[in-house]
Amino acid sequence: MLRFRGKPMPETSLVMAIVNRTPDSFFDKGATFGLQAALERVDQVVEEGAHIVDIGGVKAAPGVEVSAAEESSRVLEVVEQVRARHPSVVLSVDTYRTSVAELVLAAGADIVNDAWEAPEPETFAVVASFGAGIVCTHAGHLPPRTRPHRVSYPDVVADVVSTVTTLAEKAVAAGVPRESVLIDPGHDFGKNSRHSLQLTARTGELVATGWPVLMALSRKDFVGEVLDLLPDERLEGTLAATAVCAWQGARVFRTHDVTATLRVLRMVDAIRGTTAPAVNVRGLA
Amino acid sequence: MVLALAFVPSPPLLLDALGGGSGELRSACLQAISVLDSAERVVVLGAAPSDGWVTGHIDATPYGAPGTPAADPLPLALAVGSTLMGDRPHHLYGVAGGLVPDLGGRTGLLVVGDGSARRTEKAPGHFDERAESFDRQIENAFAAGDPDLLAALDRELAEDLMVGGLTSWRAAASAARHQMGPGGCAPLGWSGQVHLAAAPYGVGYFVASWTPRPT
Repeated sequence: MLRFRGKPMPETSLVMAIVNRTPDSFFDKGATFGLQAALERVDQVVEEGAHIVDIGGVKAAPGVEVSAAEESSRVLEVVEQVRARHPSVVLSVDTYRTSVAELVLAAGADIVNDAWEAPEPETFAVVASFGAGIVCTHAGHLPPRTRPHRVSYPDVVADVVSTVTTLAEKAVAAGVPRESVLIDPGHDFGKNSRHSLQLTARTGELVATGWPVLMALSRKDFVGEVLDLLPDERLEGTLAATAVCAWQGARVFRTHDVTATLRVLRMVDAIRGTTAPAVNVRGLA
Repeated sequence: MVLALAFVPSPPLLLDALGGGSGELRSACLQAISVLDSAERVVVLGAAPSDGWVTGHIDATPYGAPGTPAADPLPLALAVGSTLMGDRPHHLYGVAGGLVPDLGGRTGLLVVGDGSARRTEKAPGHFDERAESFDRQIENAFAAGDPDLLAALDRELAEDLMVGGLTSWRAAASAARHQMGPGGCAPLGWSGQVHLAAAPYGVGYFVASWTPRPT
């Protein structure tokens, strides 16, 4: 069973809601940069039924340098206030910095979502010291906040499987509880769109590692390139990819669109037979 | 001889593997069945492909529930009756148009059958304006505790209106005439109680019980 700092997760497909305290993230473009806006967004996604809330203070793409001090000041006060307002919600922080991870874990965060392949591996020991959870992500062996340029892999799925399972074992070796480790193939991170599509199609190979798989697909460029659409037009494409990954057993979905994603996952779970329909009367009355 | 009767409907949704039905329907059924507590044995009476005693297993997989199909699945009405009886010992008797043999002893009958499946626009058989008054006749027969009213329901109309319970109810009415009177005295007739009469999904559900009329 998945568990983060003593909080057991339901046995369904799960939703991780994105809340960015950034002025420049690609989709929300600063909508929740202000503290009040970020807190209201958290209230909203919790109300909509998100299982995990993921707070970010630095956009993924290259751009204005954000110091560790600045990043901490952005995310820490959100974590503190959310912890007080929603004591039972599972709270994740999207950071690749050990120093930031330590501060937010001390403030009550449950998961460190490191999207950049653990550039500061001391994070594992810090996460372990709090009994918290970690996301181990494949980023194409690139430094944080860089874009892929002509990247190639003999077999992208094999590269991802070997990278994330090695990271996951390192985390466990450092003392992170095994039931609190997620692996993430890192769609678009160090990959072109065809790589991300292959990872989507072959989700089953990641699931077969036995580690619970987190998929961060929401409105990303691989969806945009397939459909030739801008971020605010990528919901349907994202949901299609979500369904394909959930069908193959991916467990957690990081998303900007909580209600839509929850509905897709509930549908897929019912098709897979892992959850019963909410109502089951048709033809049975 | 029959000591008491309980009447319940047989939607598949009452099967545990399909959710077990709404709390209201389920608890009404269990309340009705409690009149059988004092019986020496309980016989569940429900529609089946042929008349006779039946053994087998409750199997909801034909209705899409997860699991492995049983080799000897019970007919739906008997499966629902058996589900509602739960751990309490009971026998299953299938009716296909015949009558129930002499049951002997102090027997409680759990009779499984449904009203019209044409009660509303969204009903399985769509809306038929005659359905509601037909179902009211059924309800009246249950409320009156009158086997003759139950046996007199029009068979042809019942077929038109997709009334599933007629076969079981006729067999039950015939058995109910062999009532066991109090202390072995002459029978006094039945006192009927309707616990629930509703068509929440367009199918008439009747939950009722018949106990000996008080002296």
